[in-house]
Amino acid sequence: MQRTTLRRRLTLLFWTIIVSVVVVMGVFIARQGKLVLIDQARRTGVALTRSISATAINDFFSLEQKAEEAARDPEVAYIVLYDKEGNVAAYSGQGIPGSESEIPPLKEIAPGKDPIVTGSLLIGNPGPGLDIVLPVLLTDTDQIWGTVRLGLRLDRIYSQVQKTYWVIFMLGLSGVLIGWAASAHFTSRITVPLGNLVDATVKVSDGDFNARIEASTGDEIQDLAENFNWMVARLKDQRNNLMENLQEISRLKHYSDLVILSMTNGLITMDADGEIITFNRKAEEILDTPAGQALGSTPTEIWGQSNSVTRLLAESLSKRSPISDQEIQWPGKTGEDRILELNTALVQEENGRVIGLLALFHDLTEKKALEVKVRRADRLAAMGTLAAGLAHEIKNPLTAVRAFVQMLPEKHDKEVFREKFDRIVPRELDRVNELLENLLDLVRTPKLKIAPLNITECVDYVLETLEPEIQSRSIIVKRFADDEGLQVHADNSYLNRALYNIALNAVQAMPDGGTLTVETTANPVPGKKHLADIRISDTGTGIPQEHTKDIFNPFFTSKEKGTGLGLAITNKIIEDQGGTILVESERGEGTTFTVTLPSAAGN
Amino acid sequence: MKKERKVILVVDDHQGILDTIEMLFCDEFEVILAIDAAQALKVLCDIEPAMIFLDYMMPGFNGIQLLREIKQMHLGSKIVVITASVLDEILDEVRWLGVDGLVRKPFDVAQIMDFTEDLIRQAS
Repeated sequence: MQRTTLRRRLTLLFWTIIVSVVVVMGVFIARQGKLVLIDQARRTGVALTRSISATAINDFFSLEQKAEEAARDPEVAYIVLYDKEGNVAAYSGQGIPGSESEIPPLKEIAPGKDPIVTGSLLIGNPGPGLDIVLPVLLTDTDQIWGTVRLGLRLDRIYSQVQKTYWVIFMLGLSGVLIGWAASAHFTSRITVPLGNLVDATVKVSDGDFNARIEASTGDEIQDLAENFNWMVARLKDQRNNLMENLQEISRLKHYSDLVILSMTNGLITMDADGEIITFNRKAEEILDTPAGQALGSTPTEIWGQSNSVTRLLAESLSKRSPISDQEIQWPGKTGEDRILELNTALVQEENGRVIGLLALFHDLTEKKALEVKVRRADRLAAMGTLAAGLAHEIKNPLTAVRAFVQMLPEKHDKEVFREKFDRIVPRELDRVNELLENLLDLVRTPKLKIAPLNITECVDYVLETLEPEIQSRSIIVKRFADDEGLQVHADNSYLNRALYNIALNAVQAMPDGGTLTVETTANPVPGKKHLADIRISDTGTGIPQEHTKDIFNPFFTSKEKGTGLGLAITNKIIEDQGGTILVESERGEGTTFTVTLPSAAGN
Repeated sequence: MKKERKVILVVDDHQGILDTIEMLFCDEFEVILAIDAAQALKVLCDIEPAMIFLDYMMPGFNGIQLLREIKQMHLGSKIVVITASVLDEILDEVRWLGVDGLVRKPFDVAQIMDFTEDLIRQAS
């Protein structure tokens, strides 16, 4: 069905209104005009009749003359004079028929002075006209002398009325046409912008946000157009913002996808029900499981209930407890177990609600294998250093003993030789023995008698033992203790030996004097075992930076005397007692050893 | 008048080696002992020994460094390096610097005495 457009409807409505108004007014005006003209004709006729009857008093001749005169008027169809009995006395006029008999007699004598008007001609040819009958009265009496009948033609008036009708029709027609044009223009003023608006909305709905409506009507239509344009501009801005945001979001998503894809760790994320949402490429590789199989499934469905990863993930999710650095065995493709490190973290919303679990898998297999290799190499290198050091240390006394033994047959009768032999050969052999004892100290597990020890007393003992060395080098000793009663958990004799070794090193590093500082401080660590620090500092030559890491290695020495085992043994003693030893040194400034031991206080 | 004896300087960080070499040569030579490089350099300021025994692997002041210093002094002394090392590459460096002899520990008494007497005879 064809839709009746708004334009057509409005045009039709306006036109109907205009036509109705024009028709009603036309009919009304035509009718009124006709009535006015007929009334005027009637008045003219009556006046003429009265003037005839007025002149006729008692003088029939004058009356006839007057009637003749009046009958010359082309408007007058006929004039008939009747006597008092109503018989035709005289007549004239163009409308009179040929024979007198056709002139009808007066049917009744008019009783009053008022004329009797009939709306048509009564004598001769009928046609539009008026028939006026007026009695002629005797002077000053009511007695009728005769009657005048006048027929007045209305042909001219009727044709004038016809002309008026025609004019009115033409005027109405032009009114209707002008009205049609005006209504068409007026409706187009409304409907054209509306049509544009409709077109524009269609364009906008199709995604063309450049659609604009031009309207300069200066009315509500223009307001509507401007509002529409503003609205579309806003829509365009918002759509552009939306597009930008969307692009940014998709760019970020692409980036994070790439990040997840490029991760060197296997990544799995699960929702709160344990269903896997993310399963990256590395996870596929490490766990030997295709992502297609994993995504949307639970670990139980993929690897079974009793699998270690299934268990750990389920436990971490259900107990809401993250797993850190958990090592697990995973069957590898080649049949050998791989070692994986598993870390999990809860995925939480801002309000703390847990919405899932994130798990990271790191394949430690190669690293572990490498570590084993490195440890082996380290052990071999250490053994090499040890063997070289040992060889060097043994070869010197061995050389001396061998040489003295070789010299014995030749020089045994010399007093000076015998004296030196007795002194040097046992000393060199003792040295070898001492070396072996020290080496054994390095490898055997000592039987420690751990007990609370007053650290101040230990330091006192060590400094007393070293007194001759300190005196001979004019070394100044400074002591600091934040708590004289500070106790550590250690074996008394072993600790004394360790501290003695460190203090001896310090003293020997200052052959030309200096300051030896011994400082003991409590070192509380929140949430952990309380510790105590013993710092022994010298102002000696210092150890080159590159040597500080080697000084605890066996046979490493920077001193001119010594086997290079002292600090190695010291380090072992401190470590055996659960402590640590740290060295800081500055060339030419001095060296500080910090021994940290478990404190007996607060544990 | 007593004939002036030739001087032998022994530089070694190990007292046992010093004592041993002293005992070996004390009958014929004046033996001066130095337990470290500093002592050795002090001695060399005053005396030009006929021979210097030098332990190459001394802690602190390395034997090779001392050898370089002695070489720079342009002394007429014969220089013999004594080593307990089993490593050859360091010995190459010693040879390159120019020494008159190389003795490995533990040494044979007869060998070292003959070797020393030969060298000193060459010098004189």
